[in-house]
Amino acid sequence: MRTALLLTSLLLPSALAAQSSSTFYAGLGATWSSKLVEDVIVSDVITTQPAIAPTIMVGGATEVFPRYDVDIELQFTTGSYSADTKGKGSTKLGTLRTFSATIGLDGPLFKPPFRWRASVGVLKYLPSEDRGMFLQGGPLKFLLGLGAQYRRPVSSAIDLSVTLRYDFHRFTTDELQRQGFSQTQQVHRLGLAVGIAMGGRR
Amino acid sequence: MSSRSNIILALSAAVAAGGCGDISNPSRSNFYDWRLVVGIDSLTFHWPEDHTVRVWVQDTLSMPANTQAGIDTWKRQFLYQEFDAVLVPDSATADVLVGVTIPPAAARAIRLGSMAPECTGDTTFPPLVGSTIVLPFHIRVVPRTLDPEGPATQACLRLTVTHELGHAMGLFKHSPNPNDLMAPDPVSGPTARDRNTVQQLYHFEADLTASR
Ligand SMILES: [Zn+2]
Repeated sequence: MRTALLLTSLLLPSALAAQSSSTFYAGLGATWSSKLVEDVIVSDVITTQPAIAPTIMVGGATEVFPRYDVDIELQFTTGSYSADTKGKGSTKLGTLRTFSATIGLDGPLFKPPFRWRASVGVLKYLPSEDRGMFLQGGPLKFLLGLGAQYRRPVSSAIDLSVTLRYDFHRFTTDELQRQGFSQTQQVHRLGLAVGIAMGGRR
Repeated sequence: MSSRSNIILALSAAVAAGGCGDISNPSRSNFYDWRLVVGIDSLTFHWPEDHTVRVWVQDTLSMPANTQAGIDTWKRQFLYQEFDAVLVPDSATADVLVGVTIPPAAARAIRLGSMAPECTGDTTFPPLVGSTIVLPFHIRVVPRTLDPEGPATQACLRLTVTHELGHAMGLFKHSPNPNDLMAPDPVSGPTARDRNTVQQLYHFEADLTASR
């Protein structure tokens, strides 16, 4: 699956560039995530949360209706995650990477060059070590997202892009369920990336 | 209403619909007492979270592999890396020593004839000075068959050293449930009860510390 996604990300720009109504964008930024789990053991309140994670995103869009595009966006984050015990301190649990692939619809927001985006997709957690709550591996989760993008021309072919992304999913793992955790945790993520955009309407 | 507004409204509604409630942690109410009884006191000990326990093991009868498997088994019981241990080559600096006693062949033959289990083990509690445990813990395993490298004895040694490591982690009492790893004569485990107990132990305030 990873190879297919990589090929898509490599081939998408050139395929889209062949159509004048298509856009390709890529950016670097950071993603904040809300807590994954809050647990209480004896009197300790333990919160597990990813740190703000460096983020790479690439996407490609093609016009389907006047002013409206359908797009595919791939996003990769990598950062640490830790367990914070209230009043006692923090334990680094390792590196937590995520990979998401979303399909979205975007259109004009207020007035050009702002655009909104609504998306659905999947998010895969990729922990550096199968341990603790990820003992049985990282889960694959359904993802809903909202976003906005701003573009400003910097040359005849390239725009500067600023992309804001919000997404939501419900989190649990096989190991948490095995250990008796019930329900799932609502996880909100907010990302901001700066990059370039090429093609499409300007 | 414009199609853009419709889309944003629909997505917001979908997010809101899925957005209620949080994950719910288990009660962990099913556990057994782990405390060391000294006089009228019941005392708790666990290794500090930032201390990697150093375990030296006698290099015979696959005991390094069995001991590493025991360490890994205990590490898997935790969600937040409260416990960590490594095998070390130098017994002089170890917190826990794992030794093997091989009885003479005649004794083994007699025990085999009495249908005794394949192995036994014990942990010697170190001296207690005030509230300080003077390290190291001494674990001993004893194979009781004519074929100590055989699969049945190896499985017994692995289970037994894991049980004894549990004592060296602070589980100073036996579980009354025969299915638990920390039962006096364990046959399997760890169970959810072992996991609940060791998780609670490592979030309980310790009365005892350890030093060399
Ligand atoms: Zn015992």
